[in-house]
Amino acid sequence: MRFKNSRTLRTIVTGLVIMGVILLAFSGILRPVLGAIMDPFVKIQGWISNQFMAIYDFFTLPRDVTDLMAENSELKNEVSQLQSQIIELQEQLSEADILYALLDFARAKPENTYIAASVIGRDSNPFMHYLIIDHGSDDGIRYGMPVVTQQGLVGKIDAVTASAARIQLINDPDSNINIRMQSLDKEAQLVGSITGDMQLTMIPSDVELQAGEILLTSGLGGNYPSDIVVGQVVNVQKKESDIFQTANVDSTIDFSTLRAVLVITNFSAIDIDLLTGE
Amino acid sequence: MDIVVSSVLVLIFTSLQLSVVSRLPIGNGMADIVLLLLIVWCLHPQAKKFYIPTLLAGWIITFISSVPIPAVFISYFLAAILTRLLINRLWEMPLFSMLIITITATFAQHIIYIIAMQFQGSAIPFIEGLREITLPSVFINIIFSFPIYLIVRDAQKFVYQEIENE
Repeated sequence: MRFKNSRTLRTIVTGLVIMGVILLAFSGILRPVLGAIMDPFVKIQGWISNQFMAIYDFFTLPRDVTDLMAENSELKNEVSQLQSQIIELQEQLSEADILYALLDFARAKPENTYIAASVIGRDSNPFMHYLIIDHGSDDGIRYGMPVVTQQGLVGKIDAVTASAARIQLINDPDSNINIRMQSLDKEAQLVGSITGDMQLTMIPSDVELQAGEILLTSGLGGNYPSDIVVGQVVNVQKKESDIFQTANVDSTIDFSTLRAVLVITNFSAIDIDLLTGE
Repeated sequence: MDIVVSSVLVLIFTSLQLSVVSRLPIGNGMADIVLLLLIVWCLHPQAKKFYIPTLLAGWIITFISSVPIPAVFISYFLAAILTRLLINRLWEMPLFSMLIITITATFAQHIIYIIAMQFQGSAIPFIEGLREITLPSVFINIIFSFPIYLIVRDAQKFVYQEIENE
């Protein structure tokens, strides 16, 4: 009986101690003690884990390299695709810029009607200066129509097929344009050459022409509408003995990089050769 | 087979001429890769039907270019016939023959163009034209002739082996 009572008492005391410890743990009083006990355990656990992961990596690393190489290759492909897309978009952006500029020009002159066309080639004849565009008579383009860009006069339509047309540039040796000097309000003739240089001729010797003078179409002769920018005077050759002076002219347009043009469709060139009997 | 291949080459070279080569001048000169194609094609001893690509090239260029019609045909046929005449008389080295004919044919072509355009009423100064346009054009044609020689010769090897096998 005494033994039995002693065992019961021990069980009760043990239970009370456990409950007391649990209550103390919950209340936070035992935290430093638990920390001191758990810290070495956590450190050991961390060390074992690190070793395990190192061994795991050692065995699985070759597979990861293969995966990385494949991923790298995919990413490289993706980068090259994106780069080609960027180039394509830049190209489209550049074209859009050109078209916006042409559109602005067309809006600024609402009295004219235009057809936008892309330059698709250049004449193979090295002595002449012609461009080929991707619009023809099916689109309403006719012989003699003036061709412009936002920067100024390009030339006129010289030949037309159903789907393409040929432009005679203003610097062609057969080109002859009547122009007006913007600030002096005098008229002269602009002629091209085989080298593509343009010269202003028939300038009366009393005209005080200076470099930088802006030249516009005069509209005389009926080949071009008036007041389209043609170019700028670069230098003037004046001799005392000559009746007329001449000047070298630089076009406002770089014909070698021209990509899109506007054809003025509501202007009909007048053939004055019929009147002059030539 | 040789007619088909030569015609396809003429079409490709004409497109390249108008869209690419004409936009790559050196000075004021410009290469004529269609002329070079005809010269190299005619250099092959078995290219007896040389007149077909010559006619085709002449017709296409006439249709597109501002050059007077007879001038294109005359210059291309002159180059082709000159090549056929000199093929066995000149050196045995076809590359050297090609260079000689390229220089001669380019000069001849430009002289024909200038005369034809003067007849047409264009103000083309003869000496200035030769100095400013023809000399750089000869130089560019010589540069272009080497890669064209390699390309056309490869095509001819394929064509004439096929014919021999038949």
